Amino acid sequence: MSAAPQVTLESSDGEKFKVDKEVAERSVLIKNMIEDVGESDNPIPLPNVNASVLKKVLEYCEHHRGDPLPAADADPSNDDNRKRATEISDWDQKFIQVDQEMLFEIILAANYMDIKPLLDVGCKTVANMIKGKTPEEIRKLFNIVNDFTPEEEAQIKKENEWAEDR
Amino acid sequence: MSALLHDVLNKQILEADNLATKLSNIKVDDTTTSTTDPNPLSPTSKRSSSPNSEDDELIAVQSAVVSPRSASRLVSRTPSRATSPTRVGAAGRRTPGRLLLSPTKSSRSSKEPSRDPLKILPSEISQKIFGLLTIHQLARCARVCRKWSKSQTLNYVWFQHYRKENFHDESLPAGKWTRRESKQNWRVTYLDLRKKDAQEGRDFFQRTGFSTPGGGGGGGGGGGDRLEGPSLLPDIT
Repeated sequence: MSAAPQVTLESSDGEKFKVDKEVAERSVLIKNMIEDVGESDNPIPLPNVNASVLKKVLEYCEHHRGDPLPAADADPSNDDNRKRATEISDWDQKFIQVDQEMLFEIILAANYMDIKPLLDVGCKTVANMIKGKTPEEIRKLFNIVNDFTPEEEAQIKKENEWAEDR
Repeated sequence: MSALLHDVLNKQILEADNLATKLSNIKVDDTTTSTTDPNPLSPTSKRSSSPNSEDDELIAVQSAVVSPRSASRLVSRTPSRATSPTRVGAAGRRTPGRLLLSPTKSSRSSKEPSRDPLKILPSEISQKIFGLLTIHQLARCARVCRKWSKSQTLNYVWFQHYRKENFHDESLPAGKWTRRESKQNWRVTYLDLRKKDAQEGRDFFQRTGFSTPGGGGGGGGGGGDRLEGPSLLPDIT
């Protein structure tokens, strides 16, 4: 038996994952649950996360198990952090190279499980996908239909003149 | 007034769209519209069955929505309410032009799930994502589609930009976002102001007294007067 205390997580589709408590506690949700309930052998249910997503999320937690906890005030919308928008560590970059559906699912899971650094990586990744793209390229990226009338399109283009002409 | 009307009409179009999409998803003929929904006039019943169909959700807001009809959703609905004719009108009346587009749209969306982040992700996450974009890029987002151009999530991000750059205090708490703010198009407000500055050869940051983290301080306190000017008035055209 391993010396490190372990917990069992159960995905929405009933798959069980036995992981080190330290790894699971990268999720503030799970950390709080363990604190509230106390340690037990009962699996912790995660009804919003399916097995394939949970596996991925736990891979992230495992790799970052020793990281210092993020500062609570690291607001990604402030200017400093916006400049750092493209900065994702090499490992995270590789980790987040998944299809779009999985990317959104990871973001939702990170939000639900309260794993802020993972949520940030996901958000930065989506932002980076949008960056440098024309409206048409963005539509293609997200499978969006252009439903503007030519007049509406011209109007917004005119409003945007200052920002887009630079 | 025409701006408000415009908003209301757009809202109706969106709603008609949602309804149409829903209906064609469950493969019913258009003519059965009025009988398929047990309560076709109730926005909440429609809403709860398709939570992702519209993103103009409430975002840290008392009421972020623009039309009287949507606003009435926030309070208890009684038939005698002053807003109810509008509400009934919006839900009961279909917009033929837009509905004709629905078969294409719904067959498309049933083939593959939506990949639009504004539909999939909750507003606070979308705010994070779009908050990471530059002004240039954020402006382009408004040209993607109607939903994006009308999105209250994006409007809120513009509002934060406006605030951040017009009040030289970065630590200011997030601006109070009420129905009044949500009615304004902050992209246009922001860009108009910047354009005027550029035309008059004025440095935006100097005028506002804003100083970049790395740079020196600008002329402090300069922002006040102008901020209270016309730019704060609703300016949706």
